[in-house]
Amino acid sequence: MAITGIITNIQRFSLHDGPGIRTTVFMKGCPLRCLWCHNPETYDHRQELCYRKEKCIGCGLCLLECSRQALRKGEDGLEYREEDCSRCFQCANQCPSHALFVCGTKKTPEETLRELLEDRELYENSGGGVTFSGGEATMQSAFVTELARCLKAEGISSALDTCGYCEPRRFCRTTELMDLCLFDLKHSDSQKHKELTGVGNRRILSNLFSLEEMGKRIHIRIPVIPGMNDDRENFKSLAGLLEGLHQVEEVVFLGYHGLGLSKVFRFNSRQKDWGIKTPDRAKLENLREYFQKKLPGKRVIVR
Amino acid sequence: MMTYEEKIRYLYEEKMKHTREKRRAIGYIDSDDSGMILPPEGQRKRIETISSSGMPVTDVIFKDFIPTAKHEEGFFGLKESGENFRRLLELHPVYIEPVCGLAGAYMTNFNSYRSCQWNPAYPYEELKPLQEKYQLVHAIGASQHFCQDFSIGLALGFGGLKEKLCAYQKRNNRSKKQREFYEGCLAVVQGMQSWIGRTADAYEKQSVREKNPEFSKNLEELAVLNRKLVTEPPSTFREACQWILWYQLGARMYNGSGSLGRLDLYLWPFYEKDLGQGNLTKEEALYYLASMLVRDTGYIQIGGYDKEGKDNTNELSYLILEAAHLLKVPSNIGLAIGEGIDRGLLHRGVEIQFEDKCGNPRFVGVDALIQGFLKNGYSYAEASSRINAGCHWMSIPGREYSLQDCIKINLAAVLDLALHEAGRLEKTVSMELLWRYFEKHVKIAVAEIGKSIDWQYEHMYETFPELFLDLLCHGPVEKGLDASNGGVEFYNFGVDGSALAVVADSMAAIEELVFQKKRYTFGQLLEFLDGNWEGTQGEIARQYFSNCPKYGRGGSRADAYAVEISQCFTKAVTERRTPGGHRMVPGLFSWANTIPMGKILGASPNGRKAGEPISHGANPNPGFREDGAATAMSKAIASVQPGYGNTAPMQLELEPGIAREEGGVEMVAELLADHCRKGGTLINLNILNAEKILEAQENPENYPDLVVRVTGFSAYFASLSPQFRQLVVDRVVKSL
Repeated sequence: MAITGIITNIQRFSLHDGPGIRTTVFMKGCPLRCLWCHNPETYDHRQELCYRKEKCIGCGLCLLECSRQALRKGEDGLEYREEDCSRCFQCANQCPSHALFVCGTKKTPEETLRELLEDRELYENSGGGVTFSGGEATMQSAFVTELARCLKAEGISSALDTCGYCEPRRFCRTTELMDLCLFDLKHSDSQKHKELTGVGNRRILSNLFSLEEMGKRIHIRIPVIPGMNDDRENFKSLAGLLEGLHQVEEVVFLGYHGLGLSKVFRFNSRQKDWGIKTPDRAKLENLREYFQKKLPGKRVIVR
Repeated sequence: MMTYEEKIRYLYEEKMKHTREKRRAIGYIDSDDSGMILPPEGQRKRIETISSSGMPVTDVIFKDFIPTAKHEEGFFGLKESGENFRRLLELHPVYIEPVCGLAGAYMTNFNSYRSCQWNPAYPYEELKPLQEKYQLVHAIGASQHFCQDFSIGLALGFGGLKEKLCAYQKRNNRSKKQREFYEGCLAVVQGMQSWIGRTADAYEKQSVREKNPEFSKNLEELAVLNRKLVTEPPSTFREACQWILWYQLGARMYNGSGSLGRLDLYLWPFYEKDLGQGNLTKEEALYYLASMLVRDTGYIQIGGYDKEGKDNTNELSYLILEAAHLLKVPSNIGLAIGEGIDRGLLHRGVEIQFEDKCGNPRFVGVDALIQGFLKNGYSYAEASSRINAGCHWMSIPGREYSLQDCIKINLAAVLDLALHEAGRLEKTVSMELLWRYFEKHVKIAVAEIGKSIDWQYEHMYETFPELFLDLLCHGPVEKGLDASNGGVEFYNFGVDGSALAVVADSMAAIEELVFQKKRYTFGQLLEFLDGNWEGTQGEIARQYFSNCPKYGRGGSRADAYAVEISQCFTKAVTERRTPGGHRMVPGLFSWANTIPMGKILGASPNGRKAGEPISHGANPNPGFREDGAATAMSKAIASVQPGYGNTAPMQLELEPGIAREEGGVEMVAELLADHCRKGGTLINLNILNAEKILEAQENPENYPDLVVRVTGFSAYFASLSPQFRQLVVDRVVKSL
């Protein structure tokens, strides 16, 4: 059977996911459950029904479509019983306003490649390429690897944006064709990591060390989530950890922002508002300076 | 002593003050923020009128100036226009500003004293039914929108122009038309000389009164300089800047002309000489340039090719850019992008865009423009001399009359006619059939435009001639013929198609929902359109029609239709000339007409409701892709270029954070260069933050210095009407 991938989105003119002008392919499915995640619709690696309430015109066509009554009219828009749903997605296909939509599109590597080639001249002239992100792209390793191979044949560079939580052999297989890895580090302490993301960090760190051994170019991305991972100790240990990694070229601090909070499209998946504040610029700048001192040979930036 | 930078800052503050006053006295201004300042309080009155671009506007005029006219409908023709303009110039107050490096500021629009935009002696009643049926923005009554050649004026000065006029007047005095032409032009020159002379007098007097020695010296220098310019041509860089400014002020006041052209080339000999002789420093040059830019927002091109195709970008190309950068007020600098043109200029232009966030400069894809214009049968030297001189348009300075940006065919109105006619006449409708109806009506619309061009060509000089631009063109003075009436060498009338995205999205939606999925019948669609999507079923249908894949997404049916529509329009415009034999050149642009064109148009099959604005220029509709990817838009717009030397601009909104990325500026430069490489012709860019623009929409008065590029032109956001602001906001918020 031909390989297919489930893609949540393909974002062109992406400038934050590696060098140059890039296209980012967001793969569906993620092994982590970060407390601050804005995109719960990317957890599950399967296609799933999603809902943008503000687009719903209340026409009720979806209710007529569903023979299993998985959808019903609630007090505040539609209600959905996943266990009754056969995932035929007829309701979404019939929805006039696209308020109901299927998150995740099934695509073959060839189809995806065609779309990625749209901006090929721009990749070439700006030193850019394609970045695989998610969710967690390594969860769809076969698809990603095949697509990276096709891209390589076209002379286009690939990068992987990963949380690092992946079975080690699969991780190495997926990263083999990547020219760059954007590697997320959320917490240095495994217990704390588990509390924040649902998984410990041992496997993650082990994969990071593998990348170092493989001689891959690494860019570290550290989300700064006030009240969750912004304690001194964490940053101190992270800096210590990175000191020993020669393949790390760049460390980026990503300040948390709450802009995505209102955009939870997944049914029955209320995003808990933890009341997280956006970290102030000065604090991020201090962090940058601290890391820059500790890691003089690496580029440290705040975004 | 003030440093030059402090002086430029002062000019900025002064501009802000004038802008606040204008906002108070006039209200909203939905057009170019030109450098106009208000007449003194007791001398002005507020009126509703028609702008030189044909839009209803509020303006202020001198309450005591009443034009003289033989007809009760107002003044018309060569002699009356010239004479009245002379009178207006003779009473125009002198504006004295001791810090500015140049003198002169204009206070009124001559056009606003015209009570009738077309001479009733030349009615065109038989053209009106179809003009109305097709909702055409036709040629009749349009003025300026072509570009003069400053090398004529800089060589001759006003004295030399007068002599030239007198010499030809003696030769060409056979017809009344010629006699009146010279009388009109001479009156204009006389008026300008009076204004400049009175300015010199006033500056001299003020220099004596002025206590600050530095200001007094500046006033005295300007008095001497302007005394000279009453008759003589300029010989220094400062004088050349001053001369160009006078001309711009006069042309702007006469009929709103804002074309300027290759300022970097015009000023180069003066700059090189003064710099070489030690009479000028770069800082001083910057200050004079800023003094010019603050007074008029003329359309300038910097960089480009010479007649052999060699890059003629120079140091002044950069200095003009830097002057606008220091000033940070609305300006209209078109920076040339080309494979053979200094890439450093593009890089600096993008840097300044990010630093200033004033929508300046804009970017002109000269390679595709030149290649396109060659298709009209012109030589390379002619094509490469054709430069950006307006909102979206190009012109060969002094040699080409074209009414650029004046003529628009709303393709969505054409589609509407095609749909209804097919519904009336055909038993079964197919997509192919619909397309044939659309093609047929595009051709009829173009033919009607052609007739309006001929009528304009015949009689505009008897309505409101181009007496000001005529002075610096090759031909009118020599022949005694107005530029609108055969005076210049080339006539290439710009005909723009508008609402491309509305039509492309509509075609794709009809194809999908009516003919492929058969969700609705063609008859139902017409009912929905006629009922403006009313009722529950109407709204459901509207949602289906508006959610089909759009033009700009890449690879969609709407993308394919956009290309076909552009080709169909291009073919109709280029395949034959007007009945009078004039060439028409296609472009895709709507200018500020997105609102009025939408207002009179019924509902469209892309889900657009009746009365809503049409799509902007060649841009896709907002929401064309979820990621709003600039690269996708760039590719789409590059693919719909008509390709005959006129533009189909890309309006691009980017967020400021990009510049913080490593190499961010270069990536944007590459995006722009790539667009031009793919055939793109013009890029209007805003660097705007979605949150900031939303806040500014709520409280515009808190953002008095926020400058945005609205369409081709740039303006203070707070000075725009709420409706225009909303257009900008929608574009920005939905694309970032």
